[in-house]
Amino acid sequence: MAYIGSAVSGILDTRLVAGKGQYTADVSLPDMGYMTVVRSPYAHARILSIDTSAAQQHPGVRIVVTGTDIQQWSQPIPHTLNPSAFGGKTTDIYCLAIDRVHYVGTPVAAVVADTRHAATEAAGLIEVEYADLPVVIDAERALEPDSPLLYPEWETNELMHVRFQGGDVEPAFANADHILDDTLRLHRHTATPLEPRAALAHYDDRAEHLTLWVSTQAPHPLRTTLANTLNMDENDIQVIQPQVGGAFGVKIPTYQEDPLACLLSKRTGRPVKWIEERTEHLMAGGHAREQTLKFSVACQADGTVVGLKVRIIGDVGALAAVGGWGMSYVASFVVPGPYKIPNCEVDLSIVVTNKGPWNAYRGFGKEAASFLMDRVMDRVADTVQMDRAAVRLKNFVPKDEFPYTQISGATLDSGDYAKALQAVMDKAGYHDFAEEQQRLRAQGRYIGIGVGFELTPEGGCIPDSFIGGYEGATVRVSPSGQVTVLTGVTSPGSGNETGIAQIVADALGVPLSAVRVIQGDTQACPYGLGNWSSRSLFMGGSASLYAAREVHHKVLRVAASMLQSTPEDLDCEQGRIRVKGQADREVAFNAVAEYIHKRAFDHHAFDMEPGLESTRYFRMGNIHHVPDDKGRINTYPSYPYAACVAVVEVDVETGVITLLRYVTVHDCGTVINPLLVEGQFQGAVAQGLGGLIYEQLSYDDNGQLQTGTFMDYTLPTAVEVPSVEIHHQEVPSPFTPLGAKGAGESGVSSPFGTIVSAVENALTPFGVTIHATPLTPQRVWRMIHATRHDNSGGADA
Amino acid sequence: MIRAPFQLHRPHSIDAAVRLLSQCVQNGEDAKLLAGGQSLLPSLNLGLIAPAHIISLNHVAGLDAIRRDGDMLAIGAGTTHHALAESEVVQAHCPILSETAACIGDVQVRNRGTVGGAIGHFDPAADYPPVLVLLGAACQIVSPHGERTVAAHDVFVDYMTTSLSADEVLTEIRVPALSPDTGTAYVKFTRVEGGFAIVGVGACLRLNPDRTCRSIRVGICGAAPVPVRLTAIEDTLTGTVVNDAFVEAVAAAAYESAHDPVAELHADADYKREMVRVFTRRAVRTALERAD
Ligand SMILES: Cc1cc2nc3c(=O)[nH]c(=O)nc-3n(C[C@H](O)[C@H](O)[C@H](O)COP(=O)(O)OP(=O)(O)OC[C@H]3O[C@@H](n4cnc5c(N)ncnc54)[C@H](O)[C@@H]3O)c2cc1C
Repeated sequence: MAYIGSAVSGILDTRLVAGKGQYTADVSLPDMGYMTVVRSPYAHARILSIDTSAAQQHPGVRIVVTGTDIQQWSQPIPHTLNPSAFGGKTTDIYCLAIDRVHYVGTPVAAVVADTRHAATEAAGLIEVEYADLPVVIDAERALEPDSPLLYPEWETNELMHVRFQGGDVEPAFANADHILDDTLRLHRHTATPLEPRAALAHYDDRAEHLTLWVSTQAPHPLRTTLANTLNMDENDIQVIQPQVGGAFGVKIPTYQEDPLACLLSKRTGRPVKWIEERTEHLMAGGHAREQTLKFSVACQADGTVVGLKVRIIGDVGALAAVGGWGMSYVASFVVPGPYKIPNCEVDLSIVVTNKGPWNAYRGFGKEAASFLMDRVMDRVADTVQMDRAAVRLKNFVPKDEFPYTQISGATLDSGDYAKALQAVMDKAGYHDFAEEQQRLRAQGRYIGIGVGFELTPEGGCIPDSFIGGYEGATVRVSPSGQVTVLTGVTSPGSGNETGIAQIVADALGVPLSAVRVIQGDTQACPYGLGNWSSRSLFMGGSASLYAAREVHHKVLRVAASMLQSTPEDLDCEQGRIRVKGQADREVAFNAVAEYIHKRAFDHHAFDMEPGLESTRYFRMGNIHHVPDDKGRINTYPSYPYAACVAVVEVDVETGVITLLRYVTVHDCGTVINPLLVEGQFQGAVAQGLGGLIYEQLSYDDNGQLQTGTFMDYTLPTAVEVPSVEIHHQEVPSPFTPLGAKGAGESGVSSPFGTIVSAVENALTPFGVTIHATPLTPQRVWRMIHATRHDNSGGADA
Repeated sequence: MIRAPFQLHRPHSIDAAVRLLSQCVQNGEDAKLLAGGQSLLPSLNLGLIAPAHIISLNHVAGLDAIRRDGDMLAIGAGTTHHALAESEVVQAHCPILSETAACIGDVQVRNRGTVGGAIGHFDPAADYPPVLVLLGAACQIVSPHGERTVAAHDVFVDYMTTSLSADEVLTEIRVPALSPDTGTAYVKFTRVEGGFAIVGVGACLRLNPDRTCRSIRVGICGAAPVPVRLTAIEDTLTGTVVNDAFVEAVAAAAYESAHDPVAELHADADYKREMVRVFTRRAVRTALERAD
């Protein structure tokens, strides 16, 4: 094991940092045209007519299309997750709106022209006549019987209602020492990858073949979806994923623009390029997070939680085909997270409103569950006057009770939660903090410490979807001993190709430099489901390991014959195969590879299947799609977790929160490469912090987006994000060959609960309780000053 | 993406630029001067403006000169924020201006953006205007009708509106060289590093040997659509003892002056007014520390 576990730097790093990566926008074809999408300026309206005549006449314009054309030429886009499969409502989503728009940014028409300018100018000439419909932007209002309806045929705005229940909730409440109620509100924000969405479609009408270069996370499922939408054979479609400049979930599904660009290439017989603008991304690239989380918790005086009732209202915006609503489902699925609360019920309403549709965003609902459970534990602790960490320690699922099945069916695979929390408290100096806090308070400075705990189910596998629990990989060794790994998983820039290369290099005993990982080409790679839910390394890596082992087995067989030894007696390292303990009896890996390719009929290789290539699939354990006796299924196989401590300072004159320290003990099982895991965790904390304090998609009452550019949609910078102190606790997964669990998403959830807890701790003298995000300075300042007698805005110092 | 086509002109002298600009104006064609482009390009990208002509000042020689001119500093309109922040002359004789330049946007913005462009664009959250007003700066403006000098105070007339007419080009900004015992500070309240000011406060303070106030000047952005200067309290406090009550008096006057802050999504008028108080207090305190 030379490479696994070591901090190898990313094999693409130098190239990408030097600006030599090739992204979709960098791919150009002769005679390509540019697509511009016309979007609705209204949140809710009927389309009365669309006049495209002026646009058609505009110089350089190749084609102008509206929903009517699209309906003739293509099928609805298959839903990434179809709500009707979960007992919910659904609707058909075409590439363009047919007769009604449901949010500002709904695509209603498209133009392809010779240049981007011509396309944009022509788009401005399209006249759409709308008839206003009443707008509903608040989910609780949308549930009222007299609310305007987005999809009148549903007769409700409730997309789906879900209930999970376990134990005996009412008696537990009846016998509890304390019952506490609260309502939490998470606000709407989203992923903003550096590279926006992008596509270049080329339909070659001589070959009758479509090639799509696209910034996607899931090329194979995209190909299947395109075939369905465009009435084409999958064989006639190739999807190529160039380098991706960040994705964070938003590039998992098939968007309307993907088949649209393909269709317009087919209609014009020439390539079509589309690059999303940032304003388009913020209004129509997919949103996340906005949920109301109501809870009622029953506990005993010693801090034991005996019952929990949760009501979640997910405001998922309008329905699109991208499946983002699933995040609210997952939020309810994960409750009560890492805690043992057998008497528990969760009631979920997923509600549509006239805002941008939800789309997958790192965290995928787990952050909401994590925030909820952190708040529950903090409130219990405060009520029974116990330390906030102690209450968590009291209620964790004990380490000897894994696998542990929660009320939803979520089956927690392994872990030692208490150990992680105790360790992080030690590392962060939790116990000595009060002294420093008192010292600074005397100077008018308010620092605070908070604990939080995130459970981050990974490797999601949902029945009857492309969100699946398996992966494939091919390992191929050339005559010169060069190793190619072709994977079904892809990389959004997170570096899993390096981790996979490490696994394969170790399995074959070759230097890392001999391994090349190829991803994201449906013509080259084995069918696979792509990159999401932190699955690439633990699923794609496991498939690669299986394939490498099979190839290695053949290499060893031939080498053993050449060295007059047995496979069991051989050591392979750095491309040299040796008889154990005998330095002089060795043969080069390359020589064996060459032999197998060129001398398949010679005696060392004669009794073996020729070739040095294997394709293997890995099926993840701990996925249960056959309902158990309580009707539960488990859609997540792997449950990494992180215990965290945050230290903040609050400027009570301004309400500004400064995150001084963020410390974590994180368990993603066997760490293949600490650099990769830590890099992902660091970035995830930045996004969690961004979501908690800075980023917000805000709508006015008419459903107009108020934060449509980076002028208003504030992202934290490197100055606001501290260097996260990351420690690993490796409890191997019982369900993967190397013990790896998912890593990549972890870190995005815990900042919500951990930092909120720390801010409350800092503001103890003011008695502040936090129920809602974002924690903008103005909101924090108001909370501080609402509780102050001296309301001078004042001088504390 | 820039939506509409335009004609780009690259004159090599101010005269040529002025000529081009006035031709466009006479022909009734919309024209814009281009300096660093850090405000103009976003406006073009968002489709907020669509001028038919863009006249670049980037090839006009000498527009970025900084020189000492008697008891004044003359700063070319084309001086970048970075050059202003790094200029030894400015650091020595008008440190508040280099401190202000250094906190604008990020490195890229400071490398491109110019003081002239910032004045021409006049965002209500821009950092220079309150500082130029408190310094009593003067702007040199050229048009086909000749040259005029306008006090900064009279340049910033209303929300995103300056008193420059469509055919005028700003060429130079003149600020006084401050006496070395002046304590100066510009403090800025932003959401994130490199962001626009929610509130920005500049203060210059000189003490008499007996530690009474010899002079104090305060300029504020964020309190109103135009920069606010606290002339009345400046006069009242001159000659009084500089202590905590002094600082509070300035802060209170600042709060009173913030009668019309531009409300933002995450900073409403009431909050902004409070922040004007807080940051004025901080600016005066820092200026005081530096005056010692
Ligand atoms: C990301 C970002 C962050 C920023 N943060 C800040 C900040 O924190 N604080 C701040 O103050 N500013 C900030 N800015 C704005 C920045 O300071 C700009 O540089 C400045 O507002 C415009 O200067 P410019 O040279 O780029 O002018 P341009 O964008 O080229 O021009 C701006 C306007 O001024 C006119 N103009 C230019 N030169 C002249 C002239 N000589 N005579 C007459 N009119 C002229 C132009 O016609 C145009 O209307 C930021 C900008 C960006 C993009």
